[in-house]
Parts: sequence; C-alpha cells; structure tokens
Amino acid sequence: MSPEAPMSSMIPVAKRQVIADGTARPHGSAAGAPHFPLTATKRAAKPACVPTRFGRLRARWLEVGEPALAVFHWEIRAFFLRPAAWVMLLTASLVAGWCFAWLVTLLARGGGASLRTVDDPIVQFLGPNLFLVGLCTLFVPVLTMNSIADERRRGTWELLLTSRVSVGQVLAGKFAALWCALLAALAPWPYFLAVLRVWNGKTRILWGFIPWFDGSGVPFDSGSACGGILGLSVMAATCVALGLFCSSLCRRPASAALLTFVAMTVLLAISFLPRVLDVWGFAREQTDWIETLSCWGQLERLCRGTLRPREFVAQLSFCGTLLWLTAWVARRVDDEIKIDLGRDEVKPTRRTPRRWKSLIALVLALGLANSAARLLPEQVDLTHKRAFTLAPQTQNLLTSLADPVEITILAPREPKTAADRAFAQAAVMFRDLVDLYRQVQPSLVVREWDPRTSADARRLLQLYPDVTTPCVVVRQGHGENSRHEVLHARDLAEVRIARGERPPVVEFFGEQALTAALARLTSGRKQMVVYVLTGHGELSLDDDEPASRQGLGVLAAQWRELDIELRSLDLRAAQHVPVDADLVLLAGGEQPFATDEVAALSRYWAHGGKGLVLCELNYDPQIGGPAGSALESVLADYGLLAGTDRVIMPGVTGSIEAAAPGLPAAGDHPLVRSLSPASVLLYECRSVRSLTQVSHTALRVTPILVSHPAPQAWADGDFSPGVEPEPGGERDLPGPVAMAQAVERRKGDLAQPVLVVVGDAEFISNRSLSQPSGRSGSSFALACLNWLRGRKDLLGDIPPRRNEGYLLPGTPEEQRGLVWKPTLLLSALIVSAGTMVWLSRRGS
Amino acid sequence: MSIVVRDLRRDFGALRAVDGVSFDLSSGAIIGLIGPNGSGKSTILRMLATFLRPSAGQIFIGGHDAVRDPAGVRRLIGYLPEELPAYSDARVDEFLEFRARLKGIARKVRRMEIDRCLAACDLVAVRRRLLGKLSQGYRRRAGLADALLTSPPVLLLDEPTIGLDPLQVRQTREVLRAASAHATILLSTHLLPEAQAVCDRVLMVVKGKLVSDVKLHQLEPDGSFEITVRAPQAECVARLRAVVGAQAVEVVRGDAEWVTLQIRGTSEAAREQVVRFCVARDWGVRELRTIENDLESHFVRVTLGLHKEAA
Repeated sequence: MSPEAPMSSMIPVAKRQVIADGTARPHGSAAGAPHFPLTATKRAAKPACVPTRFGRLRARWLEVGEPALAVFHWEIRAFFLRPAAWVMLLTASLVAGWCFAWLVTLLARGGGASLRTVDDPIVQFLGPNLFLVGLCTLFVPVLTMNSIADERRRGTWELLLTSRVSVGQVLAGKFAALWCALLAALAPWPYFLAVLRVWNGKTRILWGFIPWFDGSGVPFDSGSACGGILGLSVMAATCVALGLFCSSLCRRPASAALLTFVAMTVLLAISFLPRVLDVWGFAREQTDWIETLSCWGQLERLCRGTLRPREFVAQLSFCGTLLWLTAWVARRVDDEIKIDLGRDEVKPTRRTPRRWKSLIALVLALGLANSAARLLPEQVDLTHKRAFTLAPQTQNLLTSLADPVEITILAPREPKTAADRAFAQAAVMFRDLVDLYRQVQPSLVVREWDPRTSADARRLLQLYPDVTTPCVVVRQGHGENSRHEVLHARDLAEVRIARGERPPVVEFFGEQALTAALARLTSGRKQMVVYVLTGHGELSLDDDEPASRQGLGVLAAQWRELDIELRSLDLRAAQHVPVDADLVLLAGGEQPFATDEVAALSRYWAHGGKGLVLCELNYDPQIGGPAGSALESVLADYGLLAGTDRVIMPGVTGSIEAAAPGLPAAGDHPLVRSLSPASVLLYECRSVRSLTQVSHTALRVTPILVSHPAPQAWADGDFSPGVEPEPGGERDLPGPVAMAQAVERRKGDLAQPVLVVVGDAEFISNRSLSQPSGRSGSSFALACLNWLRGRKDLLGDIPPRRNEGYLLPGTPEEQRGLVWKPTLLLSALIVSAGTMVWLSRRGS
Repeated sequence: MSIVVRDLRRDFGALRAVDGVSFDLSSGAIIGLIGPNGSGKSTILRMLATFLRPSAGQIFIGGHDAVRDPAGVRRLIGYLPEELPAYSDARVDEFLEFRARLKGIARKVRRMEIDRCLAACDLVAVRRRLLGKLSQGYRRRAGLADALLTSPPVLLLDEPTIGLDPLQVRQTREVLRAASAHATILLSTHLLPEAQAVCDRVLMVVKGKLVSDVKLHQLEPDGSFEITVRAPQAECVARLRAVVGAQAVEVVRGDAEWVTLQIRGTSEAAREQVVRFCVARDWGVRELRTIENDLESHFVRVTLGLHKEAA
C-alpha cells in the first residue's frame, strides 16, 4: 500500500452497510465511525425497515453469542494446533486402552455378577477408577493452566478484555472449549464401551480385503452407561471450572498448574472423606452432605444408573459459582497489578464492589434452581431393569407407614465365619435398598450394630431371644409391645455360579423380604383360620416331635407366630367345612376320603373356599401300586391330576434319591415370583399334571414347582417290586415334571386363588422342617398360604433384582484382539490427525 | 469523537499511578501522551480502554461512561496495548479473523475488512505467517491492524512505533495521519521526536500528573536568541534593554570579560539591531544562537521546572 493512500479508499463500496442517512459504513463498525458516501442514490432512498423479530434475535445473538462463540472456536483451534494436545489425547487413549484391557480381563474370568451395581465391572470401568482419576488429576492442570494465567503472561488478556466482549463471554467461551477438550480426552472410555457392546473380537474379511465385525459383543445396561457418560461430562465440567478458577488466581501457568493439581487432589480427598468418616464411626446422615460436593461420588452414582436431581443441580451450581468467582477474581487480579513506580506511597483507596448485582443474580438463580430440584424426585432410575426403583406396593406401604419402624443390621464389622461373609455380601446391597426405602419414608430408622462389640446389639438380642446373628431385625414399637421380623442372608440374596455358557447370576430378593416383613408388622394381626383335615392318616397337628415324619407341630408353631390359627377338621363328623375357615389344608393321608367328605370339600371350594392340597403317594401292597384318595374327581374338576407316579432324580453316584428338588417354574405368576429361588426338597413327590380337557374354562392352572429337565429327572410310573426305576418307561413322564400347581378362578379381569396342589406332604413334616434345608419348605408353604389368602403385600409380589454376570465370548486370542485392535485403531487415528495438523502448520 | 477525562486517579495498592488527570480531546486529531518511563501513560490508556477501573474520576468517550458503560466504550475504541499480540501459534490473518469476530464484524464483510487492515499496515506479504515467527515490528503492526478493524472513531495506541525500523515508522505515521481524518487518536510515547512528528497536541504526564497540555503549533520558534559579547555586564544589559525592551533581556551567565544574554520574543529586525548595536559599541560578538522552542526543550523546561519546584 502506498503510504499516501487514504484509508477510506481501501473499504470496498459494495460491502458497506446501508444506514438511514444515506451513507454507508462497514457492518459492525462503530456508530461514530466515518461514513462513506454512496455511489448509488437509489439505495439511499430506500426507506428504513422495521427490524423483524428474527432480525432482533440475530442482532442479540451477534452481540452476546457470537463473541463467546468466537472465543470458543479460538480456544478449541489453539488446543488442537498444539502438538502437546495430540500427545495428551494419545496418552488418554492408551490409558483408556489399558483400563479396557483390565475390564476385558475381568469379563473373561467370568466375573461380573455382583450384589451391588457399583461392583459391576462396566460401572467400575466408566466410574472413578484409578486410571480415570489419575488421568483427570494430571490432565486438568495441564489443560487449564494456559487459559487465563498464560494469557496474562503473554499480554493477550488485556487485548481480549478491551474488545467488545465481557469477562463473562470470554469465560463462557474458554470454559466450553476446555470442557470439549477434556471430553475429547475422555472420549476413549465411551468408545471402548461401544466397541465392547458391538464387537466380540472376532473379525471377518469382507470381499477379501475389508476387515469387519463378526459377532456381537457383551450386552450391558445402556441406561447406566448413558448415566456414566453424563457423569463424565458433569465431572469434566466441574474440573474445568476448578482449573479456570485456579488459573484466574495466578499470573504464571506453572503456578496455575500447581494450584489446580492441589485443588484436584483436595476434590479427590473430599470424595474419600465419607468413607474415612464412616470408618471413624460417623453416621451416614452426618456425612451425606459431603457426597454432594464430590464430583467423583456423583460420577459413581451416575455410572450405577441413579441420577439424584438435587445433587446434580448442586454440582452444576458449584460449577456456576466457580465460574462467577473466576470472573470476579480475574478482574480483581487485573486491577491489582503492582507496578514499581518508585514513588511515595499513599493510602490505598477502598472502592465499593461493583459486582453486587451479578452476585445477587447468581444467588437468586442458584437458589431457584436448587429449590426447583427439591420438587423433583430424590432419585431418578436410569437403568433399564429399574434396579433403583421400588415396587409400587413397597412405595404404597412405605407412604402409609404411620408408626416408626427401626431396621437394625446386626452383623460383625469383620466377618469371620462363612455365614458372616454371606450375610456381609447380602448386606451390601441391603444397605442400598434401605437407602431407597428412606428416600420414600424418611422416618425409617436404620441402625447397624456389631453384635460382638455393641451393647445396644446385646440388649436387642436379649429382648428377642429368637434372633440369631447375622441378620436384619425389623422392629415396630418399643419395649414389650414391640413386634419384630428377622431377615437372614438366605432371605436377601442368592448367588448362582456360572455354568458353561450361562453367566453367573445374583438374585437379590431383599425388597420382597423387607416389604413383606413391614407389611406383616404394620397390617395388624388379622387372624386367619386354617382347618387341617384329619381322620385319614394326615400329618398331625398334635405331634411336636422334631424327628417325626407324621407331625405338623413345627409348621403349626411357626404359623401361630404369624397369628394363623390351625384347627383340626374331621369331615366324617362335621359333614361340612366350617364357615369361618379361610383355608383347608390337606396334608397327606393314607386312607381314601368318603363320598360325603369329598362332596363337602367340593362344595366348600366351589363356593369360594380355598385349599392347600398336599397329595402323598400311598403305596398299597395289595394292589402293588399307588392307592387312590378319592379326591381325584374333585381335582379333575379343577383341571388337575395327581399322577400315580413319583419324581425320580438320580444322585451324583447314580443311586435313586428319595428326595427330588422342586424348582420355581418359569413364568410371571405372582406365586412363582414370590418364591425364593432356592429349591424345595420334596420326598417321593407325585407329579401334578394339568388336564388338557378342562371343562371349566374359567379356571387357570399354573405350574409352580417343577423338577429338573430330562434326563436328570422324570416321573416314574413303574412300581414293580425289585425293579430299579429307569427313564423312558411306558407310564413315565419325562422332566421337567410339574410337582405343584396353582389354580385360579377367573372373574372378568380378576383371578381368585382357589387351590394349590403339591405332590408331596412330607416337606412340611416336623422332620423336614427341623433340617437346615427345611426353611425353603416352610417358606414355600407360607407363600402358598399367603397367595391363597390373597395378601399380595405379604407375598411380596415383587420381582427379585437379578444381576447377571457377563460372559465374554470368543477365544483368549479373540479377547486379546478385542483390546489391542480398537486401541491401535484409535491411537493410529490420533497420531495421523496430529501429524497432519503439525505438517500443515509447519510451512508457516 | 470526543474524549473527556475528569480528575482521573488510579491507585495500585499504596501507589498512586495517576493523580488527578483531566483533559478534553476533540475529534479528528492525533494527541500524544508523553512522559518519562513510569509516569502513568500506559495506566491512563488502560483506563481509557476500560481494562482498568479508575480509583476515582470520570472518563467519557463519545458520551459513554467508561466505568458505568464499558461495553459502550469498547464499541468505539481500537486499542493497541504495549504488549505485543503473542498468539505465537496463530497466523496473522487468523489472529485478525478472531479479533474481527470479537468486534462483531459480520461474516460477509469480515474478509474485506481484514484485507483492508492488512494492506493498511503492509502485512499482506506475511498474512499466512505465524505470529510467533514474525519480528517485533511486524507483530506490532499486526496489533495496529487489529486496532484499525471496524475503523473505530477512537484509537488508543500505546507506543505504536516502538521496535519498528525507520521505514516502518514512517509508514505507521502515514497510517495514523490517514486515520486521524475520521478518528481521534491518543498515542503514548516516550520518544519526543516521534510525538513532534505526528501529533497535533501533546499531553505531558510526569509522576502521574498532567503537567503540560500544549498544541505543537504553539511551540514554533519565537525569535529568541542568545548572544555572547565581550563587554561590561551592567552596561551591556542596560543599553540592550534600552534597545529591545527591559523585559526581553536576561543574563544567562557572565564573567569579568564575557557576558551571555538571552533575548526573548523579538523579531528578526531586533536581532539585526542588537548585533549592529554591539558592533557599533565595539563589543566583540563571539556567538549568536537561535533558541529553539521544540517539544524536547519544552519537555526539558517543564521537567526542570518541576525539579526546581520540588527542590
């Protein structure tokens, strides 16, 4: 340019903005800038237009959004132009690959089924693990140290703040850019998770040269994975805001990095503080508020699949406060730059802070947001299997709780025995469950005492001699008027180990147990009357001998504890079932029923009565086979047939066992769902078959207990003396054989329970219930009783929480490929992109 | 675009960097802010540019209060800070693109505006070079190009020519002269010839106080001169006062033989008359020297006067 050339001549006329007075100036130039005469008077004569709504919005955006966006683009561009940024991204991808290798190793071992979602390997991979925490603690200082401190050092901060941009806009742009940069560094974690979901390490070649996926990967709960990604984003935002704040305090990048590192360490320490305080004996209620401050704790909870809106908003408020403080501190530091002028000192002038308005606005906004968050549910369940959502009946029960209820976990802090360890595992998830209960009903009192060291625990054990530790005691009321329920480990959870292609499974039915216990405690002692048939050799109520196979005294004692009154009923004398009978129990019997008795029973059941029929197999030596009970016709009316056979299941040695385990049948029948997954041991059990030609279409027959499938088990109909039972006989029925069936009478959409028929009665005898395995039998009988009684809350009609382990397919070689191939691909992409950027800038 | 500063004060902790500075600047002029190092020039510019808040006093630029409405002021100013733009990994045009976006220049005309400023500052040849690899002079010109974006009506330039070679200094002066046609330019410098060459008016700041506000055309030579003659001092002074007036003659120094007199505010004819008078009296004239009334002498005079006052 010639020095003599006037500056106005360099502005092209065609690009000038028309203004109302018939002159033009460059768009965006100041109002007082010189105007250049238009060459075309036609344009000058154009009337001024009233700006449209869109025009006003656009102008507002140009004023407010565009500068922040410009800072964002500039920072992002600056980040990706630095070779150090690509080294950082490469390091992050390698660390994530290492973490992924650890995850794949865990999955390859067949682990994964855990009582707690927090112990889930996928949750641990995406959550605050050593790799992720270490990476963030080191990366955030490096990433944010240049943001403000380096701008000050280079003198560009002054240039930036004297442009048409406010500190807030600069910080918004910088924050967004650094946040995106940190998210880019954390992106390998979701990337590897996606790889795990879609690919199992097997590769095939398409058209001879394109490698492609072959076979899908490991399915996992995408809800908690999405929660984890959300948690990573929030955690990254918090870290970046913290880094920006530290950078605003310093004038040297190294100081800023050091300060940020210390702050990140403090943040990490805050996350660990509740655990430390827990060890020191602080109650969880006292340390809960610390959890709110911890971004790592928030990440952990989101990875598990729970979003707590209050904590989430509090975390965002923390970010917002840090950003506001950053803006405030940045200007304070700028204002207090000291220059040695070598002059006499004067008394400093105290100035009134001018940020009150923004502070009040911030406080109001945060207060409003946090108040609004309190209107939201305390916890939002992000998981697909609704692992953190209580069943509706539980919620109804909890909201209707009027009297205070105490839940006391009596377990040693350091488990020593196998029972202690089993309970400790179940208690881990039980504590999470109780937290959910307390979110619905805060008045629930939860205590945890060590029975070996706590005097309170000893007092409780003296008060309730029937309680054996480790257990959970649910208590309502105080002193002698109090009532209690006891839950043991077997009531809470069951772990099934992996078998072949089946992954390990953990089933937690603590909600069933606890809700049922609460319902029993709070529903009052409504007496139930059960008539036990006698006169045909049935199990006797009067027989309390623990070793007796003919006694029902043990079960009767248990049921009486639950306010169930058992009365004997001899139909030969009574002729009919009493009207106050809630249920008729037929427990075995050797002699057939008379016609009148059968008619009385039939009448009773036909008019809404209910029955628990336990059919014994009676071998009659005279006929050389099972004898009939005369109830066959009644059962047939309800679509059932008690088979003249017995369920056989050879033992491990091949010998024929007298007992065969009955497993809960598949399906979603309320009674089945309420059953413990533990098998019920039935002795010489008859098959209970469903008749296909049921005339009464209003009935529904559902198998409740079934045997193992063939060839492990079958129903053998051959009673020839001296002949070993063999499967495949003419009268045999291959497994799985129904060993118990439930019958409901349908009335419109309603289904009313009528009968439960089991092919064995001995499982509730004194002898069986006195054995360790007898617990499953009594639970089963009680579940049937409650179902027939129509008390779904007592049943605990709540599905168990099932945590299935992961089964990583493929050979070890393919599993190794699952790790190194995606890692190599990602690293190669980063290196290529970084090299291209470097080469493109090198020429300058 | 006018700049009005009233009783401006700025404290850095216990130090008062600017103390009660007031001035009015009208539009279309180049005003120099001169003073020794550490006198508070940059602080005044920083306050005018809204980077620093004044401890007291008022600043109005184009009617906008720099304290209450800094955004309004920023829309009117182009600012070149003393520190050079140090985005070392950015190219020149990338830097200007970023700055243009910050200044709200619409995308349609942004490229044209950048080209204009690049051409104005003779940066076209290095527009694709990284700022970090440019010389100090080029980087300062890049900063100047940034200040010129949007043709602001007020330009605040802190040492705009420092680090430039003579040719670049000359070009920069031309740019500033061209810009002064439509903008008020306030530049700070400690190079007095620079201020003399480009400014219409000079504000002199010493120890944070405005000690002089002069228009350069007032500093033209006024015919004062010094004459050294061999004559008795008392007689010489008395007779010359009779010739040119009693107030115009002052003794600068004198001894038994020679006396040096300063004769102020006289015409060329008076000078000739004095010489003729001396020759006629047979007083030997050893030296006759015109007293220059330039900025430097003004600066020295003012600062010496301040020192004398302080003493």
